Amino acid sequence: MPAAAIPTWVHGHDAINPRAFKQAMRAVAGSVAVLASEHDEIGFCGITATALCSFSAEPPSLLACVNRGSTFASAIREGLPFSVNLPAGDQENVVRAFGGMTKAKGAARFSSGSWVRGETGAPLLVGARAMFECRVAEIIVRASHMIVIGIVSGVALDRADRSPVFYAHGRFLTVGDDAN
Amino acid sequence: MIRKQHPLKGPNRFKLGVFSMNADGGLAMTTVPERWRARWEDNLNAACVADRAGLEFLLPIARWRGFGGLTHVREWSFETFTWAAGLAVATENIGLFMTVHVPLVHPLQAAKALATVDHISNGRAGLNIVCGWNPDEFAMFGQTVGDRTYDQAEEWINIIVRAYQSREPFDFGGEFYDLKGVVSRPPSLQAPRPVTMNAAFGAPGRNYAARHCDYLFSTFSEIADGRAHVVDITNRAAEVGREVGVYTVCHVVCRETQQEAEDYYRHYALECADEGAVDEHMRKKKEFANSHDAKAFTEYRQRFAGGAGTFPLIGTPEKIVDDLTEIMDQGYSGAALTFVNYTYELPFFCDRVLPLMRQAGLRVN
Repeated sequence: MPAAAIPTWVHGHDAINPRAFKQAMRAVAGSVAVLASEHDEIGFCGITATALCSFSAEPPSLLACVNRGSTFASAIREGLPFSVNLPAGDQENVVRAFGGMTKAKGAARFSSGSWVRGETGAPLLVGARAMFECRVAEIIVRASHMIVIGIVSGVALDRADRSPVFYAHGRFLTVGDDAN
Repeated sequence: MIRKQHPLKGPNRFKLGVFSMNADGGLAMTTVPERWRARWEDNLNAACVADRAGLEFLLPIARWRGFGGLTHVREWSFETFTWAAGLAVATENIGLFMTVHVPLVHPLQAAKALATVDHISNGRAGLNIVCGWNPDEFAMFGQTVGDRTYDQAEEWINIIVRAYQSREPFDFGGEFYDLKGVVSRPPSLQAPRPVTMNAAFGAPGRNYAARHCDYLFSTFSEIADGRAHVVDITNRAAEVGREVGVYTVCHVVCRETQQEAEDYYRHYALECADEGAVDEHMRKKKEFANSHDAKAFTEYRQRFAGGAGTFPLIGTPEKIVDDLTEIMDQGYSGAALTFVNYTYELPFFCDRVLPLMRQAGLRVN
């Protein structure tokens, strides 16, 4: 992927050391999602994302920020079905695999966790706390990342009672007792 | 429809399954009257016991003819796609493998049958990919055992995976398959495909497992030898950016006392061994299969009669849990078990061994 041109909105601001920025952002505790899709040519691809939020309730939509250098980003285009899965505390292995923290690369990451085809064809993580079936509505490319806005066509709450996986200070954390 | 995690992806550190109940004798070659007959009611009963006890998988053997002897052992066996389809309806949670000979089953036939069982079972299907080694079985199909079966298997699995992924018809031009306008709907419920395994011992099969299998089943003569297989497949898989879980196969005699267990093992696997079948099986395995280390053939005839050369778990529930713990400590994620008579012996095993495995931290349920 070619280096992104620095967009105009960056100019005129006092740039700080990116490392300092990253260090500070590590303090932000956020929930973790695993995004997954099936692309005609690339095949199965997915990524662990920590920048995910609700966008609008009407129509139901959410947005996620994805690094442009990822395989998942290269598959993303308008109309593509994809899933957003909120893993439960006992699925940290899946979060790690899709976060590039294991030896598994590409479609081999789907060996972590149990995945099924959803209504749209996008793979869903079975046993996740919540699964959103989406279609890409808009892609906004800025600097190193893209904002993906997805219209939600289906929701499944599989084990919403389970504790979520958080990411903070470079570590995955789970809260509460996940034994049940 | 509530989807469940595939049982092999579940929380137990050490998974358990049952192997070869679809074939007469199971893995044993014995003349004892209680030997496994593998009738459908037998399969159904044993499968339901394993399912209710929370075992993770049922793994069938693919056999097309037997090994002779007094019992014509393994001559009677159920075909594994149809066997799994039947058991998928009768069971609720247990994973169901199908064992498929690559050269004998067209990949599109396999793709559709596998997807069918995956839908019937609500995502519990698994594929055991075997290339075959027995020339007499291949002769029944008018074929010989090729020397490049793993190259064929490479095309074979790629066709299946692509057939599940492709929404549009596609052509496949390979060395072994030349296919036009391929479509296969429905795709498997599991994505990208049902879980896969093989039991390869040699380098080409291990490299294949590294690329295409989620699990490798491997035998060993001594538990301490087991770690080398784990290291071997882990390294091969890492080279291609994958991870492969390693399982083994064991034949089991579990009794209240060690003496009882050892007496019965001697009884069925030495005194009442089907010698003719053992000779034939060992001769063929040694000549064609590359499935065991050399020591297995010279020192462990009882193990061949007892369970086709697999590792024996003989003793009290406590002894068996100690052995399984040692196997897990070598890096193994689970074991497929065989018994002389699954229906008679599985309930005792499940009642007595599973609670001890929980206590020992091998399982949570």
